[in-house]
Amino acid sequence: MNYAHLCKPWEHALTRRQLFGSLAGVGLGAAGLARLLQPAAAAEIKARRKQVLFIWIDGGMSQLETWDPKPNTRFGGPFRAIPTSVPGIHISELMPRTAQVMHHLAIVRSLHTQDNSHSAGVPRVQRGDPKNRGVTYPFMGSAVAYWLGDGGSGLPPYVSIRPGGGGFAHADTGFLSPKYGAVVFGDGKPPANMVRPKEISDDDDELRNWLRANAVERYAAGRRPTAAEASNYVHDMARTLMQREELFDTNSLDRRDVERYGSHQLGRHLLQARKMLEAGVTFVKVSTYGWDTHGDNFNGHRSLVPQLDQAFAAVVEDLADRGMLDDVLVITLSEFGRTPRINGHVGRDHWPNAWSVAMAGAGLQRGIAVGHTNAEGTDVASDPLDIGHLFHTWFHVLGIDPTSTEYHVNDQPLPVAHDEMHAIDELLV
Amino acid sequence: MPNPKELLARYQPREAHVLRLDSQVRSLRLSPCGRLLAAGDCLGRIRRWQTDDWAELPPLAGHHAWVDNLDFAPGGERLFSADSWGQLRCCDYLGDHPALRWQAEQAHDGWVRGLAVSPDGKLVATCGNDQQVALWSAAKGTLRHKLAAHRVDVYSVCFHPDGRRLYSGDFKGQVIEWDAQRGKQLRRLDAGALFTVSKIQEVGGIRTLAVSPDGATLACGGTEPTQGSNVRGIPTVLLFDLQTGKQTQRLQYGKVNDVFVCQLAFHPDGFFALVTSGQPKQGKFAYHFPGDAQPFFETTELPNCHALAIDAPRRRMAVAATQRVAVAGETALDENGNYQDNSSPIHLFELPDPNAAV
Amino acid sequence: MPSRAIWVLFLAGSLLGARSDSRADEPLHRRIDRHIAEQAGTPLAARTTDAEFVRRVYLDLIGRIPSADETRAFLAERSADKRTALIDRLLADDGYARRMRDAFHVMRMERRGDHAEWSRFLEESFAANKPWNQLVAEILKPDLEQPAIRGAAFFHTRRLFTIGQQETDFPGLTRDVGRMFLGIDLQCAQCHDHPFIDDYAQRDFQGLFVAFENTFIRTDVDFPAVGEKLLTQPIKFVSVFTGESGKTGPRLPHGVEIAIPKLGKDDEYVVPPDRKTKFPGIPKFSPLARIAEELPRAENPAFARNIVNRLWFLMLGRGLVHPLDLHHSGNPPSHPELLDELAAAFVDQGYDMQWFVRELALTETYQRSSRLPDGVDDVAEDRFAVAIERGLSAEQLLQSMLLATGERERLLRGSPADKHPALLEKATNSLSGLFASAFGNAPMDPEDRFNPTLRSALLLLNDSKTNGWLEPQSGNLVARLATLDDAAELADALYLAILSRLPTDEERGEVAEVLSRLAHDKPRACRLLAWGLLAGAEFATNH
Repeated sequence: MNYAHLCKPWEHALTRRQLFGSLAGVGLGAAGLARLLQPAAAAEIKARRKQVLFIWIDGGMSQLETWDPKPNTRFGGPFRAIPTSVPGIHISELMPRTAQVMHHLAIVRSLHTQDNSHSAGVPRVQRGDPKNRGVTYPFMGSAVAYWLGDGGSGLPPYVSIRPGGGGFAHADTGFLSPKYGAVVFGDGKPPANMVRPKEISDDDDELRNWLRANAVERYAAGRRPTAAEASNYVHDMARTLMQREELFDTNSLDRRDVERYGSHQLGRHLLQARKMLEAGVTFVKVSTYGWDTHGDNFNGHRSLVPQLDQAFAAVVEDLADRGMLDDVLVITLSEFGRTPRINGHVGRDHWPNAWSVAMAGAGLQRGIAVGHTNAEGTDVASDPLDIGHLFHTWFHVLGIDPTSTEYHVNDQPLPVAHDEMHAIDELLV
Repeated sequence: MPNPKELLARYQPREAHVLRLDSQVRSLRLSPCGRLLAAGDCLGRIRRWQTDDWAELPPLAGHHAWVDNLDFAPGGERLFSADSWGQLRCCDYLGDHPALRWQAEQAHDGWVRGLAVSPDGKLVATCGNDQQVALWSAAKGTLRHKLAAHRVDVYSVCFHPDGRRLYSGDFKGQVIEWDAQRGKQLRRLDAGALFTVSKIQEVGGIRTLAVSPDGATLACGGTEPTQGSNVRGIPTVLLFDLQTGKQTQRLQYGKVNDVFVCQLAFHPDGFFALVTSGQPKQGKFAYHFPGDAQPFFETTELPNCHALAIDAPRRRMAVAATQRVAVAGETALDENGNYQDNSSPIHLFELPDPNAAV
Repeated sequence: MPSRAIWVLFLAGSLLGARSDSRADEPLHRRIDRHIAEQAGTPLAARTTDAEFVRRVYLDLIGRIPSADETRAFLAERSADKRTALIDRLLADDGYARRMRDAFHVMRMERRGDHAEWSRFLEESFAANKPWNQLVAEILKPDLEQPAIRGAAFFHTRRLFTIGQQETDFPGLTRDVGRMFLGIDLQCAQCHDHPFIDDYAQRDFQGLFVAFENTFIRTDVDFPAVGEKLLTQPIKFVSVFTGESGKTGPRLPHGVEIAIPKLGKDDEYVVPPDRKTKFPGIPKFSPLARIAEELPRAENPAFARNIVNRLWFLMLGRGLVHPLDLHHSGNPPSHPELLDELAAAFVDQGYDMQWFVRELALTETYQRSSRLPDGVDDVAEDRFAVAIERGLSAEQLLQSMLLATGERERLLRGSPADKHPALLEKATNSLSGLFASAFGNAPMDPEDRFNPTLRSALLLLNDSKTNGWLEPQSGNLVARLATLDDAAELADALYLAILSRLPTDEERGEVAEVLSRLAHDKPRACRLLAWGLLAGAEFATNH
């Protein structure tokens, strides 16, 4: 059996000095790994206050029916390509609204990633870690929550909005502390126990929390600070979140907004995401499921893509209008693209070899398409880019310098992004 | 009604020839003159073969992307075709370079999903993803009516044998009966069972529509979907009594992996033939008399059948399927390092001589 | 290879040193205290108060806080050896086996799920104080013929279990055997010698891997059971770094390769497979049996060092080697000689778990307060000069909350005493999922640090069940408190029930203030007072 895919030689490049240097920081109590971040670097990163809207398109969206159409070719499918607000860039006719905001966007059409199964691709793409380093990297949301913190909002730094059940996504944190996991709004609704039971009045709530805070303060006196700090941290965050009911009250959404974003689930969730970003949440992930179109791909995308088109264009427009796009990084991503070949079920299958991703904001170049595939879309024809290149780029614009920032896990210093890769120059201003 | 044995003696298809292609086929027709087989493919071409020796003639160019629709005028004078970019064309079809008679560049905004020629050959009906049904003069391509009563993509159209009534069926399973001459809506029939919403995806649609030769029955084919993305559902035909407008039968062909009835067509003797395509390798070819509970012929020999053609007078049928050995592995290359495509072999069948001893 | 030599010297040398140093006449707990005191380099914290001690030792030995009555009784006790007597009483309590079951279940399975037979295996093993080497042998080579211990196979089967297209995680199982029983995490040594840890070679991973890759879940029986395929060839491996190749049969890390016997075709099975019954056959050569024989014994020094380090962690909040699964020469123990002595003594004592836990509980080190000495801001945890605060496990927290709120008493009221354990087990089982999801870590994440989560705060704040325990109901804590007229008496009862100590004057004052503010609704005042303590850090930690 060959496990060569599990490791990368970069691990050897690190010196013994780095290894033992890092040991000094290991083994803290309640604060866990958070303490390992050099305070100066952390303060600098946090001062810039970037945010992220991460749109996860689960199952694998077809690049050919969206960002990289190959109209009238063997594998091009039935749809046309349409011009966009950027001369020379065409996208699928299924995205007419997005075409009008193309001048805000950057597309990468030369992605070549490693996994063609969901079980491997979903986590690896979201961890930005194309090779296994023997530890479990955090998903991007947990990583950004760790590096950027809550930005002083008092809100959970990582919120996920997705169809289905809500709760908490601790597994996203990988080797980071569970507190960097996502608070999950299932179907836009807050996790269980977010709403105070009616029996507990405002006064009672104030009083009981006053009592709790007093008790913790007395307990902390004369002890190491970490346990009390950790306890207060989660209680304060819980109470802050509970007080922001408007963030999860879907009944109070503006009707004109609903019309623009779409009354469908994805539209409502992206609208809710915009409100969370406005409230100061650092990283908002919106997931949409059901894109694994092995069968009837074209009617499937005809049904699915316009929903994304409408809501995505609306949120980009809104962030731009509010002046937020300079600081909010918007990403749309799947675990892979879909095969050029059309199977007997008129579907497209999994395809990591040559696919696309779109992004905007936070100082990325606007109105460009980076890289290209060949005429029939069957291979990358420019320099292939892996998810590690994207993570370098994204961390860079978020102010987390991927060339100098490191995690320390047990006795390993670990780069935040794959250290054989680099940021994509064309995307940087 | 003859017994099944007698029926099979008359109609059981025998494979006579297979045409191997290098591309995938979306539509298939045998000309009324008996001389030509035409197929619309995924590269904007109409492929043509002479039926006497199955030699291929040069393909007809001019379309874009998917040529989903083909039909001959009943007298065999012309070939009408439409593509997924909205173009409708009318041309001659024999010889190396048949003449183009007329074309409508934007017959629809986008994908034309259905095309039918009236029994008298005077009207061409089309429908598409622009939610419209259109009626054209067959002779000159003049637009007669744009019918805008559907709210979603319109997937299929067919004429009644009386030539006066037209049926259109849409994505959500709604059928509208039209007065074809006046362009007026007459009534609606509900085949909504052929549609569902799965997660955030709308799935299904009336993929094929046909009226029985006696004019009494409308058949709507598609699937009763159970899920989107990798679509699953039971291939289903709903039959409607056109007298009452009521659904009379719900006929199903297999399990949820069998998925779509892609096309059905009535034989002049009263039964309909249908082909299905589902998950890779799932495909059926069957004959069914309205009123019967079961098809009297069915084969699963052909994987993923997408199109069907009947030439009853010459006892001939054609089915476009998919090559049996699907390309293995999603990144598989052939021995020359080329990315491999799927293709649609066309299976040609002969039906037994009805005068032969039973 | 030099690194190999270093490892061997490191272990052997230190073991020898330990032997020459050891004073068999001096109890282990004294020797521990001497080591810790000598190497503290910082002022030591004061001895725990009786109240601090009684809470800590109940939590550690029987998995719950003491009841108010138990605390009062202990505080009132005047004998000089009352701490030792309490330790012995708790070790003899039924709760000890359940506490160890829970702690070892979480440590071994890392919240992957549970199984009744596994749970029973653990509990009965600890109840019988089964020697650790025997217990581990029973896990490594589960015997499905013995119903009482066959549940041990769950350690394997849960890890071999796959969903959908997943590949069976044989490397994960191999890695966990190394981590759990030897304290070495060989993951990085799977494909090449470990990049940072010279002691971990690819051969070490592969030698274990060849045995565990050969296993499968038995599907012919309806309980957890693991089978083995025929193993006739050593495994070949190539370093992805150097390209050097090697091959090995089953072999413990740093051990001697176990020869694979050459058996004739007719001679391979003890019992041949039977397709009809799905019986997979029992090969004559069982690598698991050989590993189960060779791993848990004194000749394999890593075995004892791992468990004494883990028990040390369990009682003291941090391993002498930390992280617990990174024993190697580049990550030396905080107290090397002490670890050697502990391991040697544990082996000498016949791998006696209860004896070892008792020795730890008897140390001054264990009985030291978590309050910092005067004038000291912080002390490195690895000096063990000040007790390390540990988060209560989900299991400890659930038991303790049931007890503190009086919900436990309410559940048991009216039932005969002999039914109590079963009733309590039933009640906790129904709540364990809720508590594990709020207070436990995610699956496969070791619980070795205090990690309160937003979810845990929300559960305390808003969950109807836990808040329901604070509604006055016949005989529960809030109802009882509400009947007390004297504020000071009420404060005492409140603090004893929840925090296992008496309140300070300041705290009595606070209670009185709340009672007077809500004089019109005393149950409400009691409810809020109780909540404030239950939701605080003092209750959530073993301090």
